[in-house]
Amino acid sequence: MKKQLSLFLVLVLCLGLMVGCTNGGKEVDKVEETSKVNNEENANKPKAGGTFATSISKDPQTYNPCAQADDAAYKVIQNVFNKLVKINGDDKIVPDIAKKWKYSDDGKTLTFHLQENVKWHDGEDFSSQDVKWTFDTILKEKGFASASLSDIEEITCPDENTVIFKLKSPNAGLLGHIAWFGTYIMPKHIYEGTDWLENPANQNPIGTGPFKFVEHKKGESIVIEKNDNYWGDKPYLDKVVYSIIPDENTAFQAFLNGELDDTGSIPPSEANRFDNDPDYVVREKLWPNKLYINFNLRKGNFADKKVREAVAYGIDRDEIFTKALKGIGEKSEYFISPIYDWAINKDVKLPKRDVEKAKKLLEEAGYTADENGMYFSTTMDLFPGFDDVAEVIKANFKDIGIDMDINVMDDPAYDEKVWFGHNYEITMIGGYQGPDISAVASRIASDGPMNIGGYNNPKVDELLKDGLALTTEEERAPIYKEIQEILSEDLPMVYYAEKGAKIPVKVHVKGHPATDAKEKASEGEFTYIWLDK
Amino acid sequence: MKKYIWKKIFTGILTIIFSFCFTFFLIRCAPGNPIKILAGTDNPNPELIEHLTIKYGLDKPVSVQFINYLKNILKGDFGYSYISNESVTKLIKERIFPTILLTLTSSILSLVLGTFFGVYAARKVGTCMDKFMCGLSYIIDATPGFWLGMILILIFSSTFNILPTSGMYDIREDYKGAYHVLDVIKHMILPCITLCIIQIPLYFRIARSSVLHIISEDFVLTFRATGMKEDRIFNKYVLRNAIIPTITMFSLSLAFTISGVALIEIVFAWPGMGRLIMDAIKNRDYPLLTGIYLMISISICIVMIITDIVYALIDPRIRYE
Repeated sequence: MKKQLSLFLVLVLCLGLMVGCTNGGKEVDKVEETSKVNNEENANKPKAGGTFATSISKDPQTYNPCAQADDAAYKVIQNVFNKLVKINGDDKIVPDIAKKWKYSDDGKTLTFHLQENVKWHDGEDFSSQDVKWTFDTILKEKGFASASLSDIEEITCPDENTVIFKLKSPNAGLLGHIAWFGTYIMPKHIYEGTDWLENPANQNPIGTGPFKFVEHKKGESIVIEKNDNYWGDKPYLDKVVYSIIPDENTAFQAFLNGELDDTGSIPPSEANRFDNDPDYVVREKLWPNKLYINFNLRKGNFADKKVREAVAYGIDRDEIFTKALKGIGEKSEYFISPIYDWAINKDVKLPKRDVEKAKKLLEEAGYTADENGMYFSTTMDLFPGFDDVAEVIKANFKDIGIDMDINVMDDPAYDEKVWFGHNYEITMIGGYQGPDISAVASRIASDGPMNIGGYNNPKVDELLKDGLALTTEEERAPIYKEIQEILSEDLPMVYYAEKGAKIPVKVHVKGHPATDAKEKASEGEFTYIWLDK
Repeated sequence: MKKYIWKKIFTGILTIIFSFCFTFFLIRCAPGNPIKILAGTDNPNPELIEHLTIKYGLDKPVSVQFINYLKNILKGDFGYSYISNESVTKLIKERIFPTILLTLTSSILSLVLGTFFGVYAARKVGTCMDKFMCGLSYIIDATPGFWLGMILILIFSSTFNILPTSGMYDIREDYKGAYHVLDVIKHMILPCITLCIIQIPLYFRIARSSVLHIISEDFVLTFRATGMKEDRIFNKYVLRNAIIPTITMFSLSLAFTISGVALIEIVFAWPGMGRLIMDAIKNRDYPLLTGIYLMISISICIVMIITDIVYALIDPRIRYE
């Protein structure tokens, strides 16, 4: 009897709690609604001040923004320096320190009109001479972007706020290269006459950007502060601190427990956890960046087109996308990034999986299966980061009778063997192919720096050149459609996915470059961020 | 005794020279090229690569590079990092303090605690407590340090929110004076605990087994036969004899203090030498790596010489051998 009574009491208690909870929930909802209204009212009145803490996975090595590619420094550089034009969060080219620009009708002259009254962080005046000096030096000292800027013949400065680029041949892709990387305007008055690799300003950069560089404590943090004399929209934050956290999981925990406001380190396995979390706004982003299996076309098993075709039929892109990539990004369907929707050739699609067809192709290529049903064995050479995808592909390959080993090396070893040594059969790569469609050339042109497989088709080279000379999408689309057709026949690579990300932004962070400020700011630019707390 | 010390110093110098030559060539044997890493792989520029290769003298054969390096070292110039263009001595100097702070603190703590537990277990040998402690020591020994660190972060930082996840300072605040010291201590607790947990079993087992070994010796039996009190035998005779292996162990860990603990430093984002080494390896930053290795081998030799001298002082038999 006593037991029954206590059971009854417990039940009553539970019910009471539930009722209480639901009531409470409603009230909370109401409060949220009112606060939302308040937020919307306040949205136009950002709060100034505060420190924004984010993370970076390794120490930047040099802040010379044009000499070398330093991914870690890039995060800081884009807040300290300006480019002529920049790429915004939607992968469009938008004004930076050049407010207007124009190609001449023959496509051989590119004129930039610069912002006026711009000052360097040390108080000196900025002028068109700085722009001329920067690009001249990139070309002369073989800076990172020099190869892609090689069509520049001469740069002139008719006045303080105008720069004219004269080109050797029409090049519609040049603006994209100027907007991309390694093209930040550097202070002529500091660098002129010095070795730009050893100038002390490389450790203490002077730029024109929204934030001033304060200090870099090696292995600990980097601090930048608001530039009160910024020529453009002034930043709201007082300072930004980049905490250097090498381990992705640690950075992620620090992000979750509030030590960081933002992080670039979200482990792939955790990418979907913020989907229904009211404390985060999730931006789904897709880059013009295709991930693909790359073959060595010079020698080995995959030099035979039939074998490459068998791979195209043999891999299961659905399985790679859902299992290895956790459904982030997009499954590849066509031979060009879906970002360039105006240029997609819908007639040439990547084939659907067909194991029997793949086996037949291997037999046609002259292979015979051994007692285990394997036609041949191979090794996929990789650098770290493709582990899950490689496992799925290994299993797919086994189905069609290719026995594949996975060999993961650290970056320098990989570069020596595969990237520069071309001593491999099959590998996987990806990478940015924008902001202009012509950037695909670096992977498929016979002299493209990222064409590691040695693909060489004179027709493709010719078409790529034609694509550069034209400017409108209507004129260019047929050219790139034809290229896709040729790619589908030659199969120098097999695409499997479009790189994407889910970027969680905490609700108290407004004006984040991935969400509110994606049209105005570049990917890691914090000018528009303000903290609502 | 003088002769003994000179002999030790001479072998020390030989060791340093040998290990320096060995590492110099070994690093350069690893596949990969620092200049190509510098130029980046996304859009490498062959002209930049050529330019930098000549600038850093990497176009010359390794033997010539070795002689050039030796010449500079004799002038006290350890060169400049390829990657950051900063002097190697400056880069190393920045990391020494945090490294020593963390590794030394945890080494001393684990020495004291491990030895204490070891001696305790040896005195209670065969009891439940002894069995439990031994079992636990094997379990902890099999636990990877970085995993343990991650779990401690999950418990103390993410769940209970009482300790910071990473770093050495609070990045939002700029503390001065005593608050600064407190801030560093707060940030040091988790990495220090992790290191202690990993190292304690080592000292525990050494102390326990060497105490057990000494207790079973004949002279202890003789003391017991004379009726001497058990505590006196233990404190005065057993403990002193049993401590020598522990000193060896501790001096070994002291010698490696300066090289840091890479995996733990990475998990806790501690700005130590281990991370510097890992980054230098990843970038094939030859001058930085050679400089660090040289410094580590010098510090190991110095500690070893000191240890040998301490031995000779404790145990006169050693110096006459």
